[in-house]
Amino acid sequence: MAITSLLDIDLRLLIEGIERACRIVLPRKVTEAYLDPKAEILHIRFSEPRRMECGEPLPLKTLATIFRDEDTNEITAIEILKPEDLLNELNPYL
Amino acid sequence: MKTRTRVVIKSADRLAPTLEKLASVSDELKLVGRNMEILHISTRCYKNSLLNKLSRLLEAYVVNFMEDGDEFTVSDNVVKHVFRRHRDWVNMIGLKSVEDVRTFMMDVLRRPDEVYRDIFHDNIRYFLRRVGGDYWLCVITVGSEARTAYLINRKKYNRYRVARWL
Repeated sequence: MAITSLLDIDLRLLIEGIERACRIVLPRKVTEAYLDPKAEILHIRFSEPRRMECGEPLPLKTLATIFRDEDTNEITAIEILKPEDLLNELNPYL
Repeated sequence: MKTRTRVVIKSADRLAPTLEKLASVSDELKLVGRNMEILHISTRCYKNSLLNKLSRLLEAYVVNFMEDGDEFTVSDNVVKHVFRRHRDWVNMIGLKSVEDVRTFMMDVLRRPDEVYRDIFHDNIRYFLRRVGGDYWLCVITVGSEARTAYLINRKKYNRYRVARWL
């Protein structure tokens, strides 16, 4: 089923699934979630970077990128291309 | 037994700087006119391994370039998303408007410093432009559509190189 609304996504479950699959700890404070169904982008923001943030790939087949604050190394956001594929990939971990 | 293999590269004029760069970082590769030569190949196994490596490098550099006349698109939604949520590089470069961001992204897509293909998805590509110091702007496309653009640093560049880029 195509994801057309943020209501189709359980963000807590998604974050926990990513944590289990990638063995990382993500923040629980979500300040913004943005979905572009046409471009198939899901962007989840945890905090704003002080100055700048850099992306790095998560060890998943789906292209999921976490962003870290360049000054503090804290995870500030996660961006997923084709979130539907990610949900399928994370299925064993959900 | 040492042999030499010659690989003919098409469109060498356009790719000459890239091929020169490739040749400059490897003792095994030598650019002779429009030909890329692989030197000092001693065994079939090594030759195959090197040919695979070269073909991957060339695929990344050559195949990933769009043909003349092809065009990328950066949709309104994508450019607004980048303008709002990846504001760090927008400010870093000094862009003032959504249209400035679109123009800059299009310029990176037309004239990237490096292009890589995703290891898992043939239609996903990473167009890189060095934007100062140890930072690159990475514009990601699916097919001919840009989907996002963000900064990566040297450490992340190396990580992408190993884990994600062909």
